[in-house]
Amino acid sequence: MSIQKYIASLFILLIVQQSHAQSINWNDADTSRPVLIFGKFGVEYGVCYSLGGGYLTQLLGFPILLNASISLPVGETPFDDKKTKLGATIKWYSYKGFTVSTDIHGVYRSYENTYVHLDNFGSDLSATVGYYASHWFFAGQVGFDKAIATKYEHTPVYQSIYPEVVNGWYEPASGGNFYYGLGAGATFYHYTIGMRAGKILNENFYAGPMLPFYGELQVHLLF
Amino acid sequence: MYSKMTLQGAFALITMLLSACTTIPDAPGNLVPLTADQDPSIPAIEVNGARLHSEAFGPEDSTMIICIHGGPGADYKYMLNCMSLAESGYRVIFYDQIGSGLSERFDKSYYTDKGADALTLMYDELAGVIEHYRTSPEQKVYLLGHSWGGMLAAGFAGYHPDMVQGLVACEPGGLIWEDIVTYVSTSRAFSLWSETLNDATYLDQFITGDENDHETLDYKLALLASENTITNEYNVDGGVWRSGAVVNAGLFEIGMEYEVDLTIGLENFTIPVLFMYSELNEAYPLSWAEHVSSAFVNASLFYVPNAGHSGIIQDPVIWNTITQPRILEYFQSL
Repeated sequence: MSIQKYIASLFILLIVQQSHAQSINWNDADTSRPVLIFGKFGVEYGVCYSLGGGYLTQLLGFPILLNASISLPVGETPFDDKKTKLGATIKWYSYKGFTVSTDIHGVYRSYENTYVHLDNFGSDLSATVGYYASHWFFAGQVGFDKAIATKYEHTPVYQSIYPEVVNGWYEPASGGNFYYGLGAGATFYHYTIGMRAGKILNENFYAGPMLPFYGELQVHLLF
Repeated sequence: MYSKMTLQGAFALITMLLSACTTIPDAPGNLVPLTADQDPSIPAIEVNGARLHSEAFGPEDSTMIICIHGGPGADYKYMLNCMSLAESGYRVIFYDQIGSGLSERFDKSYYTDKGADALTLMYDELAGVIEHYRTSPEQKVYLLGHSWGGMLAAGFAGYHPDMVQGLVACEPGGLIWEDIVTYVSTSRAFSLWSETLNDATYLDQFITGDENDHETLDYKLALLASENTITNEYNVDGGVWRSGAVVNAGLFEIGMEYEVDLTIGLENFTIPVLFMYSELNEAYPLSWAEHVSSAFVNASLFYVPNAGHSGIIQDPVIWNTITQPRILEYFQSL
Protein backbone atom coordinates (compact mmCIF):
# COMPACT_ATOMS: atom_id res chain seq x y z
CA MET A 1 0.00 0.00 0.00
CA SER A 2 1.50 3.36 -1.02
CA ILE A 3 1.87 6.10 1.54
CA GLN A 4 -0.90 8.12 -0.16
CA LYS A 5 -3.32 5.20 -0.09
CA TYR A 6 -2.44 4.75 3.55
CA ILE A 7 -3.12 8.40 4.39
CA ALA A 8 -6.36 8.37 2.38
CA SER A 9 -7.52 5.22 4.14
CA LEU A 10 -6.70 6.73 7.54
CA PHE A 11 -8.68 9.78 6.61
CA ILE A 12 -11.73 7.74 5.61
CA LEU A 13 -11.47 5.93 8.96
CA LEU A 14 -11.27 9.27 10.73
CA ILE A 15 -14.47 10.43 9.08
CA VAL A 16 -16.29 7.22 9.94
CA GLN A 17 -15.11 7.16 13.56
CA GLN A 18 -15.90 10.76 14.32
CA SER A 19 -19.26 10.80 12.61
CA HIS A 20 -19.49 14.37 13.73
CA ALA A 21 -18.33 17.02 11.72
CA GLN A 22 -17.91 19.68 7.51
CA SER A 23 -17.76 22.95 5.71
CA ILE A 24 -18.33 25.63 8.21
CA ASN A 25 -21.77 25.74 9.74
CA TRP A 26 -22.26 29.48 10.28
CA ASN A 27 -24.81 28.73 12.97
CA ASP A 28 -22.13 27.01 15.01
CA ALA A 29 -19.42 29.58 14.33
CA ASP A 30 -18.67 32.24 16.89
CA THR A 31 -15.49 33.97 17.95
CA SER A 32 -15.41 32.12 21.26
CA ARG A 33 -14.20 29.11 19.29
CA PRO A 34 -12.13 30.86 16.64
CA VAL A 35 -9.85 28.07 15.47
CA LEU A 36 -10.92 25.69 12.73
CA ILE A 37 -9.20 22.61 11.41
CA PHE A 38 -10.57 20.57 8.57
CA GLY A 39 -9.86 17.63 6.32
CA LYS A 40 -11.39 16.62 3.02
CA PHE A 41 -11.34 13.61 0.77
CA GLY A 42 -12.95 13.28 -2.62
CA VAL A 43 -12.75 13.89 -6.34
CA GLU A 44 -11.75 17.23 -7.82
CA TYR A 45 -9.53 16.99 -10.93
CA GLY A 46 -8.51 13.60 -9.58
CA VAL A 47 -8.81 11.72 -6.33
CA CYS A 48 -7.52 14.17 -3.72
CA TYR A 49 -7.25 14.63 -0.01
CA SER A 50 -6.64 17.92 1.73
CA LEU A 51 -5.95 19.38 5.14
CA GLY A 52 -6.35 22.92 6.33
CA GLY A 53 -7.04 25.34 9.10
CA GLY A 54 -8.58 28.71 9.74
CA TYR A 55 -9.22 31.51 12.19
CA LEU A 56 -12.61 33.09 12.74
CA THR A 57 -12.78 36.80 13.42
CA GLN A 58 -14.72 39.95 12.55
CA LEU A 59 -13.89 42.46 9.81
CA LEU A 60 -15.93 45.67 9.56
CA GLY A 61 -18.71 43.90 11.39
CA PHE A 62 -18.75 40.87 9.08
CA PRO A 63 -17.77 37.40 10.31
CA ILE A 64 -14.71 36.31 8.37
CA LEU A 65 -12.88 32.99 8.37
CA LEU A 66 -9.24 33.37 7.33
CA ASN A 67 -8.09 29.99 6.08
CA ALA A 68 -5.41 28.02 4.29
CA SER A 69 -5.30 24.50 2.91
CA ILE A 70 -3.21 22.06 0.92
CA SER A 71 -4.64 19.44 -1.41
CA LEU A 72 -2.78 16.47 -2.87
CA PRO A 73 -3.93 14.00 -5.50
CA VAL A 74 -3.22 10.30 -5.02
CA GLY A 75 -0.65 8.55 -7.20
CA GLU A 76 2.59 6.65 -7.07
CA THR A 77 4.69 9.85 -6.96
CA PRO A 78 3.82 11.77 -3.80
CA PHE A 79 3.87 15.59 -3.73
CA ASP A 80 4.65 16.10 -7.45
CA ASP A 81 1.17 17.59 -7.91
CA LYS A 82 -0.39 19.85 -5.29
CA LYS A 83 -2.71 22.79 -4.71
CA THR A 84 -2.53 25.29 -1.87
CA LYS A 85 -5.15 27.92 -1.14
CA LEU A 86 -4.97 30.97 1.07
CA GLY A 87 -7.87 33.31 1.58
CA ALA A 88 -11.05 34.12 3.39
CA THR A 89 -14.68 33.14 3.70
CA ILE A 90 -16.92 36.09 4.53
CA LYS A 91 -20.49 35.94 5.79
CA TRP A 92 -22.24 38.96 4.26
CA TYR A 93 -25.87 38.49 5.17
CA SER A 94 -28.02 36.31 7.37
CA TYR A 95 -31.75 36.24 8.07
CA LYS A 96 -33.46 33.51 10.10
CA GLY A 97 -30.80 30.98 9.15
CA PHE A 98 -30.59 31.93 5.47
CA THR A 99 -27.04 33.04 4.84
CA VAL A 100 -25.05 34.49 1.95
CA SER A 101 -21.27 34.11 1.99
CA THR A 102 -18.37 34.34 -0.43
CA ASP A 103 -14.99 32.68 -0.66
CA ILE A 104 -11.96 34.41 -2.11
CA HIS A 105 -8.72 32.46 -2.37
CA GLY A 106 -5.36 32.89 -3.94
CA VAL A 107 -4.19 29.58 -5.37
CA TYR A 108 -0.75 28.13 -5.96
CA ARG A 109 -0.61 24.75 -7.65
CA SER A 110 2.00 22.60 -9.32
CA TYR A 111 1.95 19.69 -11.72
CA GLU A 112 4.58 17.34 -13.03
CA ASN A 113 4.71 14.55 -15.57
CA THR A 114 7.17 13.07 -18.03
CA TYR A 115 7.20 16.20 -20.18
CA VAL A 116 6.84 19.24 -17.95
CA HIS A 117 6.74 20.84 -14.51
CA LEU A 118 4.08 23.54 -14.14
CA ASP A 119 3.80 26.17 -11.40
CA ASN A 120 0.64 28.21 -11.43
CA PHE A 121 -0.77 31.16 -9.55
CA GLY A 122 -4.50 31.63 -9.77
CA SER A 123 -7.64 32.56 -7.93
CA ASP A 124 -10.74 30.76 -6.75
CA LEU A 125 -13.86 32.84 -6.13
CA SER A 126 -17.21 31.45 -5.08
CA ALA A 127 -20.55 32.45 -3.61
CA THR A 128 -22.66 30.26 -1.33
CA VAL A 129 -26.30 30.62 -0.36
CA GLY A 130 -27.67 28.27 2.25
CA TYR A 131 -29.86 27.54 5.21
CA TYR A 132 -27.97 26.96 8.45
CA ALA A 133 -29.73 25.45 11.49
CA SER A 134 -28.09 24.51 14.78
CA HIS A 135 -27.28 20.96 13.81
CA TRP A 136 -27.49 20.90 10.05
CA PHE A 137 -27.20 23.00 6.93
CA PHE A 138 -27.92 22.88 3.23
CA ALA A 139 -26.28 25.19 0.70
CA GLY A 140 -25.73 25.85 -3.01
CA GLN A 141 -22.44 27.12 -4.39
CA VAL A 142 -21.25 28.76 -7.64
CA GLY A 143 -17.59 29.49 -8.27
CA PHE A 144 -14.81 30.17 -10.75
CA ASP A 145 -11.30 28.78 -10.54
CA LYS A 146 -8.83 30.65 -12.73
CA ALA A 147 -5.25 29.73 -13.61
CA ILE A 148 -3.83 33.23 -14.09
CA ALA A 149 -0.13 32.78 -14.80
CA THR A 150 1.77 29.55 -15.32
CA LYS A 151 5.45 28.75 -15.41
CA TYR A 152 6.44 25.95 -17.80
CA GLU A 153 9.70 24.06 -17.22
CA HIS A 154 10.04 21.27 -19.75
CA THR A 155 11.95 18.08 -19.07
CA PRO A 156 14.79 16.89 -21.29
CA VAL A 157 12.32 14.35 -22.69
CA TYR A 158 10.03 17.03 -24.13
CA GLN A 159 13.00 19.17 -25.16
CA SER A 160 14.25 16.20 -27.18
CA ILE A 161 10.86 16.09 -28.91
CA TYR A 162 10.66 19.85 -29.47
CA PRO A 163 14.01 21.56 -28.83
CA GLU A 164 12.62 25.05 -29.57
CA VAL A 165 10.02 24.89 -26.78
CA VAL A 166 9.96 28.12 -24.76
CA ASN A 167 10.23 27.73 -20.99
CA GLY A 168 9.15 30.41 -18.53
CA TRP A 169 6.07 32.27 -17.35
CA TYR A 170 3.04 32.18 -19.62
CA GLU A 171 0.34 34.76 -19.32
CA PRO A 172 -2.53 35.64 -19.92
CA ALA A 173 -4.48 32.93 -18.24
CA SER A 174 -3.88 29.39 -19.45
CA GLY A 175 -7.09 27.98 -18.05
CA GLY A 176 -10.20 28.43 -16.00
CA ASN A 177 -13.23 26.45 -14.91
CA PHE A 178 -16.65 27.28 -13.51
CA TYR A 179 -18.22 25.00 -10.92
CA TYR A 180 -21.57 24.78 -9.24
CA GLY A 181 -23.11 22.34 -6.83
CA LEU A 182 -24.83 21.56 -3.57
CA GLY A 183 -23.60 20.76 -0.11
CA ALA A 184 -25.08 19.61 3.17
CA GLY A 185 -23.86 18.71 6.60
CA ALA A 186 -24.61 17.93 10.19
CA THR A 187 -23.02 19.47 13.31
CA PHE A 188 -22.48 17.85 16.72
CA TYR A 189 -20.34 19.24 19.54
CA HIS A 190 -18.59 21.70 17.18
CA TYR A 191 -17.73 18.96 14.74
CA THR A 192 -19.32 19.23 11.34
CA ILE A 193 -19.35 16.38 8.87
CA GLY A 194 -20.58 17.23 5.44
CA MET A 195 -20.38 16.64 1.77
CA ARG A 196 -20.54 18.68 -1.39
CA ALA A 197 -20.88 17.68 -5.02
CA GLY A 198 -21.38 19.42 -8.30
CA LYS A 199 -20.36 19.98 -11.87
CA ILE A 200 -17.28 21.58 -13.43
CA LEU A 201 -17.42 23.40 -16.75
CA ASN A 202 -14.67 24.80 -18.93
CA GLU A 203 -14.65 28.62 -18.86
CA ASN A 204 -15.61 28.57 -22.54
CA PHE A 205 -18.65 26.41 -21.77
CA TYR A 206 -18.00 24.14 -24.76
CA ALA A 207 -16.69 21.24 -22.74
CA GLY A 208 -15.82 20.06 -19.28
CA PRO A 209 -12.63 18.65 -17.88
CA MET A 210 -11.92 14.94 -18.09
CA LEU A 211 -13.58 14.56 -14.67
CA PRO A 212 -16.46 17.03 -15.15
CA PHE A 213 -17.68 16.79 -11.58
CA TYR A 214 -16.47 17.15 -8.02
CA GLY A 215 -17.54 15.51 -4.81
CA GLU A 216 -15.99 15.36 -1.38
CA LEU A 217 -16.49 14.47 2.23
CA GLN A 218 -15.38 17.05 4.76
CA VAL A 219 -14.74 17.09 8.48
CA HIS A 220 -14.54 20.43 10.31
CA LEU A 221 -13.79 21.10 13.94
CA LEU A 222 -14.10 24.46 15.70
CA PHE A 223 -12.34 24.92 19.02
CA MET B 1 -2.58 57.57 2.06
CA TYR B 2 0.89 56.01 2.36
CA SER B 3 -0.49 52.46 2.27
CA LYS B 4 -2.68 53.27 -0.76
CA MET B 5 0.35 54.58 -2.64
CA THR B 6 2.37 51.53 -1.62
CA LEU B 7 -0.41 49.25 -2.86
CA GLN B 8 -0.64 51.09 -6.18
CA GLY B 9 3.12 50.95 -6.58
CA ALA B 10 3.24 47.25 -5.82
CA PHE B 11 0.43 46.56 -8.30
CA ALA B 12 2.22 48.57 -11.01
CA LEU B 13 5.49 46.71 -10.32
CA ILE B 14 3.81 43.29 -10.49
CA THR B 15 2.06 44.24 -13.74
CA MET B 16 5.35 45.48 -15.23
CA LEU B 17 7.22 42.35 -14.17
CA LEU B 18 4.53 40.05 -15.51
CA SER B 19 4.26 41.80 -18.85
CA ALA B 20 8.04 41.99 -19.16
CA CYS B 21 8.77 38.29 -18.71
CA THR B 22 5.71 36.38 -19.83
CA THR B 23 4.94 34.51 -23.00
CA ILE B 24 1.62 33.93 -24.70
CA PRO B 25 0.66 30.22 -24.46
CA ASP B 26 -1.17 29.95 -27.79
CA ALA B 27 1.40 31.84 -29.87
CA PRO B 28 2.67 29.61 -32.71
CA GLY B 29 5.93 27.85 -31.98
CA ASN B 30 6.13 28.43 -28.23
CA LEU B 31 4.89 25.09 -26.92
CA VAL B 32 4.45 23.02 -30.07
CA PRO B 33 6.15 23.11 -33.48
CA LEU B 34 4.85 25.12 -36.43
CA THR B 35 2.84 23.33 -39.10
CA ALA B 36 3.64 23.00 -42.81
CA ASP B 37 1.39 25.93 -43.76
CA GLN B 38 3.24 28.12 -41.21
CA ASP B 39 6.77 26.97 -42.00
CA PRO B 40 7.68 26.54 -45.69
CA SER B 41 10.82 24.55 -44.82
CA ILE B 42 8.67 21.57 -43.73
CA PRO B 43 8.37 19.01 -46.57
CA ALA B 44 4.74 19.03 -47.66
CA ILE B 45 2.24 18.25 -50.39
CA GLU B 46 -1.15 19.79 -51.22
CA VAL B 47 -4.03 17.34 -51.06
CA ASN B 48 -7.69 18.31 -51.35
CA GLY B 49 -7.01 21.87 -50.21
CA ALA B 50 -4.91 20.95 -47.18
CA ARG B 51 -1.13 21.26 -46.80
CA LEU B 52 0.08 17.90 -45.51
CA HIS B 53 3.48 17.20 -44.03
CA SER B 54 4.79 14.36 -46.19
CA GLU B 55 7.97 12.62 -47.34
CA ALA B 56 8.77 9.71 -49.65
CA PHE B 57 11.81 7.45 -49.90
CA GLY B 58 12.96 4.79 -52.36
CA PRO B 59 12.58 4.35 -56.13
CA GLU B 60 9.70 6.46 -57.45
CA ASP B 61 8.28 3.81 -59.78
CA SER B 62 8.36 0.82 -57.45
CA THR B 63 5.53 -0.57 -55.33
CA MET B 64 4.27 2.07 -52.92
CA ILE B 65 3.99 1.45 -49.19
CA ILE B 66 1.81 4.11 -47.55
CA CYS B 67 2.54 4.38 -43.81
CA ILE B 68 -0.61 5.48 -41.99
CA HIS B 69 -0.15 6.73 -38.43
CA GLY B 70 -2.40 6.33 -35.42
CA GLY B 71 -4.47 8.70 -33.36
CA PRO B 72 -6.53 10.20 -34.79
CA GLY B 73 -4.16 13.06 -34.16
CA ALA B 74 -0.74 11.41 -33.83
CA ASP B 75 1.87 11.72 -36.59
CA TYR B 76 4.29 9.60 -38.59
CA LYS B 77 7.42 10.33 -36.55
CA TYR B 78 7.09 7.10 -34.59
CA MET B 79 6.81 5.16 -37.87
CA LEU B 80 10.07 6.40 -39.35
CA ASN B 81 11.68 2.99 -38.83
CA CYS B 82 9.57 1.94 -41.82
CA MET B 83 11.91 4.04 -43.97
CA SER B 84 14.21 1.00 -44.09
CA LEU B 85 11.67 -0.74 -46.34
CA ALA B 86 13.01 1.54 -49.08
CA GLU B 87 16.28 -0.39 -48.91
CA SER B 88 14.32 -3.43 -50.11
CA GLY B 89 13.26 -1.52 -53.21
CA TYR B 90 9.89 -0.12 -52.14
CA ARG B 91 8.65 3.44 -52.47
CA VAL B 92 7.91 4.29 -48.82
CA ILE B 93 5.54 7.20 -48.27
CA PHE B 94 4.74 9.02 -45.05
CA TYR B 95 2.15 11.69 -44.44
CA ASP B 96 0.63 13.40 -41.42
CA GLN B 97 -3.13 13.24 -41.73
CA ILE B 98 -5.12 16.45 -41.89
CA GLY B 99 -5.07 18.32 -38.59
CA SER B 100 -2.34 16.00 -37.23
CA GLY B 101 1.39 16.24 -36.71
CA LEU B 102 2.88 19.01 -38.81
CA SER B 103 -0.02 19.15 -41.29
CA GLU B 104 -2.38 22.10 -41.61
CA ARG B 105 -5.01 22.65 -38.91
CA PHE B 106 -8.73 23.22 -39.45
CA ASP B 107 -11.52 24.15 -37.06
CA LYS B 108 -13.49 21.35 -35.45
CA SER B 109 -16.57 22.27 -37.47
CA TYR B 110 -14.60 21.45 -40.64
CA TYR B 111 -14.93 17.79 -39.60
CA THR B 112 -18.18 17.76 -37.66
CA ASP B 113 -20.12 19.68 -40.35
CA LYS B 114 -19.41 16.80 -42.73
CA GLY B 115 -21.21 14.38 -40.44
CA ALA B 116 -20.63 10.74 -41.34
CA ASP B 117 -18.84 11.94 -44.50
CA ALA B 118 -15.87 13.00 -42.37
CA LEU B 119 -14.59 9.44 -42.82
CA THR B 120 -14.85 9.92 -46.57
CA LEU B 121 -12.68 13.02 -46.09
CA MET B 122 -9.98 10.78 -44.62
CA TYR B 123 -10.40 8.21 -47.43
CA ASP B 124 -10.23 10.96 -50.07
CA GLU B 125 -7.12 12.32 -48.43
CA LEU B 126 -5.43 8.91 -48.56
CA ALA B 127 -6.49 8.53 -52.20
CA GLY B 128 -5.05 12.01 -52.85
CA VAL B 129 -1.71 11.05 -51.28
CA ILE B 130 -1.57 7.92 -53.46
CA GLU B 131 -2.37 9.96 -56.56
CA HIS B 132 0.25 12.56 -55.67
CA TYR B 133 3.06 10.02 -55.55
CA ARG B 134 1.85 7.53 -58.17
CA THR B 135 3.89 7.54 -61.36
CA SER B 136 1.81 5.04 -63.35
CA PRO B 137 -1.64 3.43 -63.12
CA GLU B 138 0.00 0.00 -62.76
CA GLN B 139 2.02 0.95 -59.70
CA LYS B 140 0.96 -1.26 -56.78
CA VAL B 141 -0.15 0.18 -53.43
CA TYR B 142 0.40 -1.50 -50.06
CA LEU B 143 -1.02 0.07 -46.91
CA LEU B 144 0.77 -0.19 -43.55
CA GLY B 145 -1.50 1.18 -40.86
CA HIS B 146 -0.88 1.32 -37.15
CA SER B 147 -3.67 1.66 -34.54
CA TRP B 148 -6.11 4.27 -35.91
CA GLY B 149 -4.01 4.08 -39.09
CA GLY B 150 -4.89 0.37 -39.31
CA MET B 151 -8.55 1.24 -38.90
CA LEU B 152 -8.31 3.88 -41.63
CA ALA B 153 -6.47 1.44 -43.90
CA ALA B 154 -9.22 -1.16 -43.38
CA GLY B 155 -11.96 1.38 -44.09
CA PHE B 156 -10.13 2.54 -47.20
CA ALA B 157 -9.66 -1.02 -48.45
CA GLY B 158 -13.41 -1.56 -48.16
CA TYR B 159 -14.15 1.81 -49.79
CA HIS B 160 -11.62 1.38 -52.65
CA PRO B 161 -10.92 -2.37 -52.82
CA ASP B 162 -9.34 -2.04 -56.26
CA MET B 163 -6.81 0.59 -55.16
CA VAL B 164 -5.10 -1.61 -52.56
CA GLN B 165 -2.92 -4.63 -53.36
CA GLY B 166 -1.69 -5.36 -49.82
CA LEU B 167 -2.59 -4.42 -46.24
CA VAL B 168 -0.75 -4.63 -42.93
CA ALA B 169 -2.88 -3.66 -39.91
CA CYS B 170 -1.10 -3.27 -36.58
CA GLU B 171 -3.48 -3.32 -33.61
CA PRO B 172 -6.42 -1.39 -35.04
CA GLY B 173 -8.51 -0.70 -31.92
CA GLY B 174 -11.76 -1.86 -33.50
CA LEU B 175 -13.51 -1.60 -36.84
CA ILE B 176 -17.06 -1.03 -35.64
CA TRP B 177 -18.05 1.65 -33.16
CA GLU B 178 -18.95 -0.74 -30.37
CA ASP B 179 -15.49 -2.32 -30.58
CA ILE B 180 -13.80 1.09 -30.74
CA VAL B 181 -15.54 2.13 -27.52
CA THR B 182 -14.60 -1.16 -25.86
CA TYR B 183 -10.95 -0.84 -26.87
CA VAL B 184 -10.63 2.82 -25.89
CA SER B 185 -12.23 2.08 -22.51
CA THR B 186 -10.04 -0.96 -21.90
CA SER B 187 -6.83 0.75 -22.96
CA ARG B 188 -7.53 3.69 -20.63
CA ALA B 189 -8.99 1.85 -17.65
CA PHE B 190 -6.44 3.29 -15.23
CA SER B 191 -6.72 2.64 -11.53
CA LEU B 192 -8.44 5.37 -9.55
CA TRP B 193 -5.32 5.54 -7.38
CA SER B 194 -2.81 5.67 -10.21
CA GLU B 195 -0.42 8.45 -11.12
CA THR B 196 -1.39 8.04 -14.79
CA LEU B 197 -5.06 8.84 -14.18
CA ASN B 198 -4.35 11.72 -11.86
CA ASP B 199 -1.72 13.18 -14.20
CA ALA B 200 -4.37 13.19 -16.92
CA THR B 201 -7.19 14.69 -14.88
CA TYR B 202 -5.22 17.11 -12.68
CA LEU B 203 -3.97 19.00 -15.74
CA ASP B 204 -7.47 20.33 -16.49
CA GLN B 205 -7.14 23.04 -13.85
CA PHE B 206 -3.94 24.40 -15.46
CA ILE B 207 -4.75 24.36 -19.16
CA THR B 208 -8.14 24.61 -20.85
CA GLY B 209 -8.18 26.36 -24.25
CA ASP B 210 -10.91 27.27 -26.73
CA GLU B 211 -12.46 24.70 -29.02
CA ASN B 212 -10.14 25.64 -31.90
CA ASP B 213 -7.13 26.83 -29.92
CA HIS B 214 -4.85 24.39 -31.74
CA GLU B 215 -1.57 25.29 -30.05
CA THR B 216 -2.93 24.95 -26.52
CA LEU B 217 -5.04 21.86 -27.16
CA ASP B 218 -2.33 20.06 -29.16
CA TYR B 219 0.13 20.71 -26.34
CA LYS B 220 -2.31 19.47 -23.74
CA LEU B 221 -2.99 16.29 -25.73
CA ALA B 222 0.76 15.67 -25.96
CA LEU B 223 1.02 15.90 -22.17
CA LEU B 224 -1.91 13.53 -21.73
CA ALA B 225 -0.57 10.99 -24.21
CA SER B 226 2.97 10.93 -22.86
CA GLU B 227 2.61 7.40 -21.55
CA ASN B 228 0.13 4.58 -21.15
CA THR B 229 0.86 1.79 -18.71
CA ILE B 230 -1.88 -0.45 -20.14
CA THR B 231 -0.91 -0.41 -23.81
CA ASN B 232 2.72 0.00 -22.77
CA GLU B 233 3.39 2.74 -25.24
CA TYR B 234 5.74 5.48 -24.20
CA ASN B 235 6.06 8.56 -26.37
CA VAL B 236 9.19 9.52 -24.51
CA ASP B 237 11.67 8.75 -27.25
CA GLY B 238 10.59 11.59 -29.46
CA GLY B 239 7.60 9.59 -30.69
CA VAL B 240 5.39 12.46 -31.87
CA TRP B 241 6.17 15.85 -33.40
CA ARG B 242 2.81 17.40 -32.54
CA SER B 243 -0.54 15.97 -31.52
CA GLY B 244 -3.73 16.98 -33.32
CA ALA B 245 -6.31 17.57 -30.61
CA VAL B 246 -9.04 19.16 -32.72
CA VAL B 247 -9.16 16.46 -35.41
CA ASN B 248 -9.04 13.88 -32.63
CA ALA B 249 -12.04 15.44 -30.87
CA GLY B 250 -13.90 16.02 -34.14
CA LEU B 251 -13.55 12.44 -35.39
CA PHE B 252 -14.46 10.96 -32.01
CA GLU B 253 -17.54 13.16 -31.90
CA ILE B 254 -18.57 11.95 -35.35
CA GLY B 255 -17.83 8.36 -34.42
CA MET B 256 -20.06 8.63 -31.40
CA GLU B 257 -22.91 10.36 -33.20
CA TYR B 258 -22.95 8.19 -36.33
CA GLU B 259 -21.52 4.96 -34.87
CA VAL B 260 -19.04 4.66 -37.69
CA ASP B 261 -18.42 1.33 -39.38
CA LEU B 262 -15.05 0.74 -40.97
CA THR B 263 -15.97 -2.75 -42.21
CA ILE B 264 -18.26 -1.46 -44.95
CA GLY B 265 -17.20 -3.04 -48.23
CA LEU B 266 -14.48 -5.21 -46.68
CA GLU B 267 -16.21 -8.32 -48.04
CA ASN B 268 -15.00 -7.13 -51.46
CA PHE B 269 -11.39 -6.94 -50.32
CA THR B 270 -10.17 -10.50 -50.71
CA ILE B 271 -6.40 -9.94 -50.72
CA PRO B 272 -4.65 -11.54 -47.72
CA VAL B 273 -4.15 -9.18 -44.79
CA LEU B 274 -1.28 -9.30 -42.29
CA PHE B 275 -2.68 -8.48 -38.84
CA MET B 276 -0.16 -7.76 -36.08
CA TYR B 277 -0.65 -7.55 -32.32
CA SER B 278 1.81 -7.13 -29.47
CA GLU B 279 2.63 -9.02 -26.31
CA LEU B 280 2.76 -6.03 -23.93
CA ASN B 281 -0.44 -4.24 -24.91
CA GLU B 282 -2.69 -5.56 -22.15
CA ALA B 283 -5.77 -4.26 -23.99
CA TYR B 284 -4.97 -6.35 -27.06
CA PRO B 285 -4.91 -10.07 -26.18
CA LEU B 286 -5.16 -12.81 -28.80
CA SER B 287 -8.94 -12.97 -28.32
CA TRP B 288 -9.29 -9.29 -29.26
CA ALA B 289 -6.96 -9.69 -32.26
CA GLU B 290 -9.08 -12.65 -33.45
CA HIS B 291 -12.27 -10.67 -32.92
CA VAL B 292 -11.17 -7.52 -34.76
CA SER B 293 -9.41 -9.35 -37.59
CA SER B 294 -12.51 -11.44 -38.28
CA ALA B 295 -13.87 -8.51 -40.31
CA PHE B 296 -11.31 -9.29 -43.02
CA VAL B 297 -12.02 -12.04 -45.56
CA ASN B 298 -8.49 -13.39 -45.30
CA ALA B 299 -6.34 -12.26 -42.36
CA SER B 300 -3.33 -13.95 -40.82
CA LEU B 301 -2.38 -13.01 -37.28
CA PHE B 302 1.18 -12.28 -36.25
CA TYR B 303 2.23 -12.01 -32.60
CA VAL B 304 5.01 -9.51 -31.82
CA PRO B 305 6.76 -10.49 -28.57
CA ASN B 306 8.37 -7.98 -26.17
CA ALA B 307 6.60 -5.01 -27.76
CA GLY B 308 3.83 -2.68 -26.63
CA HIS B 309 1.29 -0.94 -28.82
CA SER B 310 3.62 1.47 -30.60
CA GLY B 311 6.74 -0.64 -30.05
CA ILE B 312 5.68 -2.96 -32.91
CA ILE B 313 7.01 -0.26 -35.22
CA GLN B 314 8.69 2.33 -33.01
CA ASP B 315 11.12 0.06 -31.18
CA PRO B 316 14.14 -0.25 -33.50
CA VAL B 317 15.19 -3.67 -32.22
CA ILE B 318 11.67 -5.10 -32.55
CA TRP B 319 11.31 -3.49 -35.96
CA ASN B 320 14.58 -4.79 -37.34
CA THR B 321 14.41 -8.30 -35.91
CA ILE B 322 10.71 -9.15 -35.88
CA THR B 323 8.29 -6.73 -37.53
CA GLN B 324 10.13 -5.77 -40.70
CA PRO B 325 11.21 -9.32 -41.65
CA ARG B 326 7.61 -10.52 -41.33
CA ILE B 327 6.25 -7.57 -43.32
CA LEU B 328 8.79 -8.14 -46.10
CA GLU B 329 7.89 -11.82 -46.16
CA TYR B 330 4.23 -10.86 -46.46
CA PHE B 331 4.81 -8.31 -49.23
CA GLN B 332 6.92 -10.80 -51.17
CA SER B 333 4.09 -13.34 -50.95
CA LEU B 334 1.58 -11.04 -52.65
